[in-house]
Amino acid sequence: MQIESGLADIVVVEAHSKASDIKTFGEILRHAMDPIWLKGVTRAHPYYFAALEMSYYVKKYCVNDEAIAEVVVKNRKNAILNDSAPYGAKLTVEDVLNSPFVFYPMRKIEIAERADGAVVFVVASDEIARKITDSPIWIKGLGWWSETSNYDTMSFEALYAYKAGKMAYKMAGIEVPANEIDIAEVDDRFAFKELQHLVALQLANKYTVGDLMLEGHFSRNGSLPVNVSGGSLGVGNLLEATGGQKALEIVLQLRGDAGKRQVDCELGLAQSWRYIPTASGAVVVFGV
Amino acid sequence: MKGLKFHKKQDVAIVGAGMTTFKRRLLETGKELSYFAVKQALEEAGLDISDIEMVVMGSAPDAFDGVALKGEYLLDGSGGSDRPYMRVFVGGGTGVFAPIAGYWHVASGLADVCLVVCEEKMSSCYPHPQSAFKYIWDPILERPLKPNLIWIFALEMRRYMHVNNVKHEDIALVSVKNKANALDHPCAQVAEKITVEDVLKSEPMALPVRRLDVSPPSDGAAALVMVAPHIARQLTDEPVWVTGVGWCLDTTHWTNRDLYFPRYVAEAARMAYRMAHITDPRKQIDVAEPYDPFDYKELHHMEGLGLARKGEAPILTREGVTARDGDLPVCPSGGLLGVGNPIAATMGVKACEIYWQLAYRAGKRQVAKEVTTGVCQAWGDLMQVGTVMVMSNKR
Repeated sequence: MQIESGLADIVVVEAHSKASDIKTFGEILRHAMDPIWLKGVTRAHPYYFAALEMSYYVKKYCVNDEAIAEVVVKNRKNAILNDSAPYGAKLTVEDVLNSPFVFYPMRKIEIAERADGAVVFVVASDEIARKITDSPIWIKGLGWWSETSNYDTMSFEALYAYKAGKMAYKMAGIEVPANEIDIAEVDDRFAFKELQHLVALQLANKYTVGDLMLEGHFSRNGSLPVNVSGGSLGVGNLLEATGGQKALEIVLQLRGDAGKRQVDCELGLAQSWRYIPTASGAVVVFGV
Repeated sequence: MKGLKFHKKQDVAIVGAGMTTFKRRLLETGKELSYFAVKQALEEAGLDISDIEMVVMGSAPDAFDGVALKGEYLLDGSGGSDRPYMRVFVGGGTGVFAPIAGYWHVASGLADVCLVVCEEKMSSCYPHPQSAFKYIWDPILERPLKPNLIWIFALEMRRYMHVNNVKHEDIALVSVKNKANALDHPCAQVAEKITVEDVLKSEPMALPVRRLDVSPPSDGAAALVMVAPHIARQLTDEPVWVTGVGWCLDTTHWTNRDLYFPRYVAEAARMAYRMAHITDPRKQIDVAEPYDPFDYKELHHMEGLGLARKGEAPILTREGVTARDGDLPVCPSGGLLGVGNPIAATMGVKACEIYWQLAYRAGKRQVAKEVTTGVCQAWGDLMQVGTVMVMSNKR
């Protein structure tokens, strides 16, 4: 917006996470809740809210455990090829399903571990970009949306991703995202969220997304690679910088700089969510 | 910025503003405060909340309300629900930075109607909001010294007085003027008629800063409606146009700066003036709202804004040039010293006040002279952020 409004020609965007300084993460999340209606209800760890949402999601759309486990397996496997990802691992669906629950029906392994890191982008107006480089990555469309901060009135359907996606698609002139997007990075800080976000972003059907996941549709050599970087499950939960990591991966992939994990793509999408207890998210569509 | 031509997609007009009373409002939540301000701004603009496309929220540290991700918490009250909503925050500078963010929402063509809301609730901070400032210092170099904001400002004030050879009496005049101006402001918290004597005899905080040199912590909210030209034409015959914006961050190592002159404000003003085609601010600006959390700060910032030469601001104040009926009215609202200092919500006495003055809607506070161009400025974070906005009632 600063460039589009003519205020600047070159803007540097930085995002970082210093999660290792945090001793009481759960307490900080609790502080983000409404002090009158929600904070006093329970002393429980706020991840319970994610678990509630997950159980609602799983029941409503009949998603089976294997599909969610497959998200973990796929992303942790993708992360092995990513040098910046600390949580790469070779797992099987059985490993995940046999691992312990922490917030039923959520397993510990389905929650992204935190990590430290920083991401920087240099964004320029088209005039400058053409001068500096022959192959810039263009921001084709962007969108952001907030639903509400109250748990009692939230939709639990990732409406924020749907609306933000719609805004970005409109700007980018995309009519059928599932056919046009080549690669996507979506928020997967809880494994089920990846499925939920893919549906909200109109990249998959809400009833078949689990099957597509199990069939390898979203794997690195599938027809729509999702979270090739390893996602947050593989790279780590970078808190507010998570969206930066998603966008970075898309930029690297479109530029052909993704090294061993390179996929063939021309139009990519990065989506972020503001984590519990919020319903805010943003979407950017990048193209070459 | 060099060579930049400021090619915006569309002009930006302000068509409505609102603010709540500034005072200790422990019984109301931040959401309620935001709601009051938004309602007033929408009524003034003749719009409904469903007409709003995007919302910008300005709110300073989460520590005051004791709510993390405060922007998310304030979503519903500020009308941000089910819209693209963004929170911006540069400490005290937010009061003018939030409207700057609103400006780029509209100027970039992304939104035609953008609502800017600023909220702050300091009273929930126990025992005093000052304790939240413990955490702004560098954790390694400064925090072990246990600094406190007032001490730092005492250093800065003393440096300003020393370099420009200014007496405390001259600085106290600012407090006298602003608190008297605030008598006409319906939202004022500490409006009163005082004398220079009162200021000099008030309780010492950290010398030379005394009780009446300082603005009070406060709760409140303010809102602005910014629209594209084709919307403005439908709503009013006399919109106020945003003609220039500028902001600048200096180093956070305040020990490495010369404290007598606010370089960050001068740089921010340079950007805004260039955009607004202002070459001689002292002649071209008709009314100004520099940030005045301390009385010397108004003088300091006037010099930064180029409204006075270095060391000249106290003289202008003594001569009555900056009074409401003077040649260059400064803080006709009563400023933070008179109306109150709810960090981000000071937008109500800065950006909103300039809008009201230029739209001739300031009522009893309307300045005597004819006005076309006004400037508002805020300052904050670790004393190193300057944010400036120039408005005009001529396009």
